[in-house]
Amino acid sequence: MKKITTLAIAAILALALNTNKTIAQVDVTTALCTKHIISPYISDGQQYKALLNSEEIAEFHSTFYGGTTYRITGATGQTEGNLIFSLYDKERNLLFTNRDYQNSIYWDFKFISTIDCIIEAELDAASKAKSGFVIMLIGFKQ
Amino acid sequence: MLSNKLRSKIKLVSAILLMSVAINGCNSDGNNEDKIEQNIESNIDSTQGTLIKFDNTLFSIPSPYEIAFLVKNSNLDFDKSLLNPYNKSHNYTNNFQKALNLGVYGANLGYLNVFEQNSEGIQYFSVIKILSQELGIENAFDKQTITRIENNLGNKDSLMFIISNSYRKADQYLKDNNRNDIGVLILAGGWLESTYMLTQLSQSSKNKEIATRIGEQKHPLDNLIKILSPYYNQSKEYAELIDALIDLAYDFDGIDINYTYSAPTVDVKNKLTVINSKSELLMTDQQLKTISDKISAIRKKIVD
Repeated sequence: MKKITTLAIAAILALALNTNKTIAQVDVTTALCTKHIISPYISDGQQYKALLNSEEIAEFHSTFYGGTTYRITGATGQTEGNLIFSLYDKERNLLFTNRDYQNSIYWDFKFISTIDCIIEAELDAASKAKSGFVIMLIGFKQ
Repeated sequence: MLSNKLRSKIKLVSAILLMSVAINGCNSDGNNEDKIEQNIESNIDSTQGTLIKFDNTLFSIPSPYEIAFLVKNSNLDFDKSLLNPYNKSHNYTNNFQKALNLGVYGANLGYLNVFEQNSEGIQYFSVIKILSQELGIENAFDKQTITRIENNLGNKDSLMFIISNSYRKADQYLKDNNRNDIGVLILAGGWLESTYMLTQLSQSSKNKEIATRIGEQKHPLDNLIKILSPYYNQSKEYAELIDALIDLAYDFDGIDINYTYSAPTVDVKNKLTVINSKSELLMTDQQLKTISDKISAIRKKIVD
């Protein structure tokens, strides 16, 4: 009986520790992003999170108002530069990709007119990560 | 003394738990989450390679604070009558009403901030704090945040930054704890209230920029419906709200948006891209009135 109880407790503890490790890793990724949404940028009040495997792409659909400058920041893992994000319009014209700029963790966008866009995010193959949580944040300039 | 049958069950459960931990450990990032439902679609696009959508299509709703800045920059006077009175908060007795109105009051607080109505702002912030506690997301407005807000009451830019960040933390907390059914209501309440304020200001001021911004809510509304839809069967209240928004979306469908692509220009040094593409909105006065009336009706049902 004692052995069974010990085994059960050990299993539960191991699972709890693993879950806590996952949460801690996501917190690190989130912190990589939040440090770039700073004044004069204000958060849009949302956090965008997706779990990706190496060949998958997450899509974020957003409307950006004309006359406003936005900052988009995205990360995965525990260091900057592992996430590729690209901005498309609804006709799938590529407006920007950070792949062209050393996978920059953030980029600013000034919209002349209100546009509906799609942001695609994918793990950088060079990072060799097989999977990971992607965090993206959007801020607008006051 | 445990029976042999019970002992076997405990051993089996423990073995399963240990195996699942071992499998998680094999993942190179160690990143796993509890069960995730997956709807996998494959799109083969010969120009872009294979894109597999892994239930990772997410939708964003414009921040109510963007609307608040637009209103301020339109040189319109502050209008207290637009706000949902803070003393109505005790009317909201279930989580559905509380979450929606947490979004509503957040939009109101943004409006108060940009017009530097600090004494009213304090009242609204108090109500937001209480609703957050009742919804179990008081961490978004922890003691440190409250102190920062109190220390920045005279600084609207800092206040806006702190409060919007708190809403982001609340959104994060709710998603991380599988309480997105509450998170989407906060977003819905914020969007509805800010759009309602635009409709009222449009009627009173006849400001074209404000009217245009109303028409531009066409796709944000579509996004809002998409993020709410998974919860349609959660309760009669969710179903009624979603049905009302879908009915509203039919009126927005009548609005034409003509889009013309232009190549962006890049300032690499400042990490800035200017998106030169243009959209032209075509909306009649009748469409604007119908949309305004429907938004008022939906908003009335939420705040009353």
